[in-house]
Amino acid sequence: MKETDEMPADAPLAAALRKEEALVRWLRAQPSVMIGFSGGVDSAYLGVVAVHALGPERVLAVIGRSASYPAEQWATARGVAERFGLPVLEVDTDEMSDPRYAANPSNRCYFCKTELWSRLLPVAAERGIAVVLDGTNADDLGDWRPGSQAGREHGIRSPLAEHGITKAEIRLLSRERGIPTWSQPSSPCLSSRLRYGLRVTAERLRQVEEAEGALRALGVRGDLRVRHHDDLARVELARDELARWMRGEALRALAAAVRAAGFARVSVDLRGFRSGSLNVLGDVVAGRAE
Amino acid sequence: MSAEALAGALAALGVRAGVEARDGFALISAAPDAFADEALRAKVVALAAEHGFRSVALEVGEPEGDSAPGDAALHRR
Repeated sequence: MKETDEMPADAPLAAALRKEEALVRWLRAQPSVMIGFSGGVDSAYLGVVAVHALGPERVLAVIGRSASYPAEQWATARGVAERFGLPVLEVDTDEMSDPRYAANPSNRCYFCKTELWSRLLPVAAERGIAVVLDGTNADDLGDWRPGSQAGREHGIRSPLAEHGITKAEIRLLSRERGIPTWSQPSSPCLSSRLRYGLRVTAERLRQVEEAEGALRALGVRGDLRVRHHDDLARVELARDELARWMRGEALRALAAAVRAAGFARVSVDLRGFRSGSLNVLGDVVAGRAE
Repeated sequence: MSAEALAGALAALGVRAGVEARDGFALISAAPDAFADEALRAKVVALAAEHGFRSVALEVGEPEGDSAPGDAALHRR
């Protein structure tokens, strides 16, 4: 965040804290909450704020596990929950068995989230939990998010978005609370790496997860995606990482690591990491359902 | 999107490359060393956009001799 002559250095934090206060007031007005908990930046923050505001008796974080959920993120989710005393339940989801999901259309997330909420809502009802939340933030509202439609259809609340809390603010507030995910790169599900129309299979998800894990082990930092284009991997690196890896032995090592995951061909995107790049390539426009 | 036109434009830039149109982006095959230069990458990205591609990726071949994949100029759609 940039300091200016007109704005005190802590102005962004002060503004974010005011929003957080409003969020806490809203949370405290709920008898109990269940949170769709992935361990990403947003749901980690929401979970920690909720358990601080309501206490562990009135909060339950639920992890939906499937082949599209990265193991590394699961470990982060469990770590955050344990560190902050957030009660956690794990539920298996089976979106892969839905042919509409597996076909990987541009509104794939709608079917995924439909499956998730269909699994979680009965659990909430059994336990008498009043309201189910997700970690959608204010920035997400202008993005292509077919999963949000599923949330609305199932009556899921998005308190971060409803209180205007942006991703940058979530990171800032997470850092203030000592939540380790504050600096974590964004981490969508593994299916998001497959170009639209390429069938989602456990094998393809494994390839992506293995390739990204191998690149992290090599030392790739920051935002990273291995996009699956069937026989071809297209690696997206953060801009400053491109400079590190686009040369000699480093590039060859990068390609070898991705090839070892099962890709016949390996490429590096010269633009670097771009969130939602498959939406751009597929000409998917925010707000248009397919 | 024209792979052939982009290949021609790259050649004019001094980059000998095969170009394949893939899923909305241009997949180029060229000797990788020059792409360590950020300015060149930026120029190639701009050229690809001018030719209708939404992105451009450099294929990294297997380490067999000094040849890049598709070392001869290719214009595949």
